[in-house]
Amino acid sequence: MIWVTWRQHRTQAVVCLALFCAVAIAAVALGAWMRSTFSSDGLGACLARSGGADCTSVIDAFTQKFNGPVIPLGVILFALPGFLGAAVGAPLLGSELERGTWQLAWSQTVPRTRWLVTQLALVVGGLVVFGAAVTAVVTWARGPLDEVSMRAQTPLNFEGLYLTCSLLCAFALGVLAGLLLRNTIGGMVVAYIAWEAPSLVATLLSGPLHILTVTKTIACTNGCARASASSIPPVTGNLGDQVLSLTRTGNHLIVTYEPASRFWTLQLIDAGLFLAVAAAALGTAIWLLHRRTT
Amino acid sequence: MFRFRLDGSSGVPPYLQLVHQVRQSLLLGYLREGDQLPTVKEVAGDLAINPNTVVKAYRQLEHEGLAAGRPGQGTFIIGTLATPSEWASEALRDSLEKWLRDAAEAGLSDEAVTALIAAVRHDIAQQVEAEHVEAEGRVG
Amino acid sequence: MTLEASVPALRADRLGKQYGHVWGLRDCSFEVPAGSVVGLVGPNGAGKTTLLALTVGLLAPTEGQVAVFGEPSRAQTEGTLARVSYLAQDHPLYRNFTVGDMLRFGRSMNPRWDHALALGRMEALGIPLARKIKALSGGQQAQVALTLALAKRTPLLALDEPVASLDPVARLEFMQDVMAEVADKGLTVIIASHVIAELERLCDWLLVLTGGRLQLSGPLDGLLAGHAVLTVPRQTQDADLPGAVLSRTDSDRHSTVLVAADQAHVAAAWQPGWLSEPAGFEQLVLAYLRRPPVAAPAGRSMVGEGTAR
Repeated sequence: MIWVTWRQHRTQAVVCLALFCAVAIAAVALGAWMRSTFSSDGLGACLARSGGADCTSVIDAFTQKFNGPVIPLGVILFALPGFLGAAVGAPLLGSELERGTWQLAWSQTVPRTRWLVTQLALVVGGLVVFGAAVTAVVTWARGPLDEVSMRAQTPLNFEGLYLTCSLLCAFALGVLAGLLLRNTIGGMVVAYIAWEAPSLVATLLSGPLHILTVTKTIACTNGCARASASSIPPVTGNLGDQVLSLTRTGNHLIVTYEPASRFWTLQLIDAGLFLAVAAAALGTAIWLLHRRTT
Repeated sequence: MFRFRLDGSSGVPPYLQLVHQVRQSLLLGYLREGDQLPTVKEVAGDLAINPNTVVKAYRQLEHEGLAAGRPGQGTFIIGTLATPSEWASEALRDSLEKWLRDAAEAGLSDEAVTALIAAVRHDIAQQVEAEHVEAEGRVG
Repeated sequence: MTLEASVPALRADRLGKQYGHVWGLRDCSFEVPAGSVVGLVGPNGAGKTTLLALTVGLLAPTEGQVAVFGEPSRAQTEGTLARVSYLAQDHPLYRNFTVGDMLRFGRSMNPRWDHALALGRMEALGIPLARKIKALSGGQQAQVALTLALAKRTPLLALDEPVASLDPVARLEFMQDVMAEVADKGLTVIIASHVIAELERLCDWLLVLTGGRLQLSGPLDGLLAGHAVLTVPRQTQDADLPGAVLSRTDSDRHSTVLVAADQAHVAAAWQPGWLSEPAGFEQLVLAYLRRPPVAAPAGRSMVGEGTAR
C-alpha cells in the first residue's frame, strides 16, 4: 500500500519538490540580501546596544526597504496552500470515482476504508513535511525583518503553523469534495472555494479583529509629548508590539496594543481552526466511504 | 498436434463437432492408432470453448472405442473406423435401391425423399443426444 | 472435468439490493457447482453488475446473502475480497501506470499473488513492461486487467461484460486465455453479458436476470434437453401442451411454441401433426428474457419443472 500511494502521488510529490525549490531559492536570495543590509547598516549592533531606542531611522529605512519585496512572497504563500491542498486532495477519491478505477482498487484484498486511511496518512505526512520545509526556509529568510518589525502582524500566515495547517485544511476539503462530486476538477474548485471560509476567519481573527489586545498604563520617563502610536520602537518597549491607541493622562500613557507574544497564541488558534475543519472533512469522507457499501 | 475447428453457426452441438472431426480424420487416414489427441486445456484454449465440452467429446470417443485416456499422459487414439466391408456396402446399396423405387411408386418427389431422410436422421440424432444426456446424469 | 467439490462455488439465498427506492436485485436464489463457467445474461440494468458486486464484496446486500465456496460474502472484509477476482466493465486500469507498475500494484494489494504467472503472461502476450497502459490497445489492456485478476489466484473469477468493447480478434484471444485457465486450474468463472450468442460455447451453467429478478438457473445441457420447440395446429390449447409455455407464435393454421418439457414428456403428449425440435440456445434465452420479471418463480434450477400445468 505504501508503494501504491507513492506511485499514485509521484507526480504531485515532484511538483511539490519543485515548488519548494522555487520558494527556497527566492527565500534564500531575499534572506541573504536582508542579512547583508542588516550588517552593513549596522542595525545588529544598534539593536544590541540600545534595544532599538536609538535606531529609529535605521529601522525605518530597513523595514521600508524590505516590506516591498516580501509582499509577492506573502501573496503566493497565502494562496498556495489553498490551491495545492485542493489539487492534491480532490483527485485522491475524485479521480478513482470519475474513471471507474475504484472498482479495481477496492476489489483487491485491501478493504476500501483501510485503503483510504493509509493513503490519507501517507499523503498528510508528505504535506506536513512540505509545509514545514517551506515554513522553515521562509522563517529563516525573514529573520532580520522579524527582529525589527511588528511581528504581531504580517508573518502570521507564513511562519509557524499557519501554512502547514492551512494546507492540510484545503487538502481535507479536496478529499471530501472529490468524493461527493465524483469529479477531480470540480472537486478542486469547490474545495478551494470552501477553503476560503476558514481561511477568511483565520485572517480576521489574527488581523483586523484584534482579539488579543492588552491595555497597559506606562509611566513616562522622558516626556510623553513625543510618544505616539506609530513611534519606532513602540512605547511599550518591545519591538514586535503593535500599538493601536494611546491616551495621555497626566504623566502616564494608557496604551492599547497587541503584544508580540500573541504571535504564538494566534498561531495556535488558527491552527486549531484549520485542523478542526480538516479533521471534520476527513472524518466525514471516511464515514461516507464506509457507508457506500450499505 | 491435431487441431480442431468449430463452426458456430452449424447448429450441431460443439462436442459432436469435435467427435465428428476425429471420426472423419480417422476415415481419411489423417489420424492413426497411437496418435495423441490434444489436451483438454489445449483445445479449450485454441477454440475458446468450455473445457467440459472437450471432456464430453473425448468421453464419447472413449465410449465408441476410438480413444482412451492414459493417466498422466493424455488421450490417445486406440481404434480405427473400419471402412464398410464389401458385403455390407453391397447389401446396403441393394436395400436402398429397393426403397427408392418404392418411394417413387408411392409418388414421393426427389425433394420429398431428401426431406424425409433429413427428418429421420434428425430424429435419430435427437434420440442419441437424449440418451447421452441421461447417461451424463445432468438433468436437473 | 467432473465436479469434485460438493460445496457450491456460488450460492445465493433470497439475495436483494435496494438503491434508494429501487430494487436493483430482488429475491435471488440459486446455486452453482464448483468448476462451472456461468453465463449471467440479462439486458442492461437487469442487475448483473449488482449481483457481481455483491459476490465480490464491493456492495453489501439489503436482504439475503451470497456465499462463495460456503463463506458468505461480507462487503469490505479481507476474507471476501481475497476469495473472488473481479474484472469490472471496461477493464479499468491506471492509465498513467506502466504495465510493470500495474503488476506491482497487484502484488502490493494482494498477499496471495502469483507474480511469476503475471510476468509469464505479459511475456507470452508480447506486452512490454515499460509501456504505459494508455499506450496499449484495447485488447492488450483487457489482457493486462485479466492478468491482474488471474494472478490473484482465487477460485472464483467474476467478469463483467469482459469483451463488450473489444474487436473480434481481441475477443477471441481473451476468451481463449480464460478457457485455458479454467481447464488448467479448475477455476469457476461467472461472465456477465448481454450478448447471448457467444456464451453458448463458453458456459455450462446459465443464469438469466431481468428487472432484478432471476428467471432461470440451470446447467446448459440440462436446460436445452428440458425444452423443446413444437409446431402444432393453431387451435391447440396451452393446456394440451406438455410443460409450461414460454413463448407462442401464432400463424393462420399453425403455432410455434417453446415449452419447458423434455423429450419424454413431449413424446407422451405427442399428437399427429405435431413437429418437435430441440430448442436453440439463443431462442431459449430470449424467451426467458422476454418474460415479465414478476412472473418468475423464486426457485433454483428450472429443469425438471417441465411437467404439464
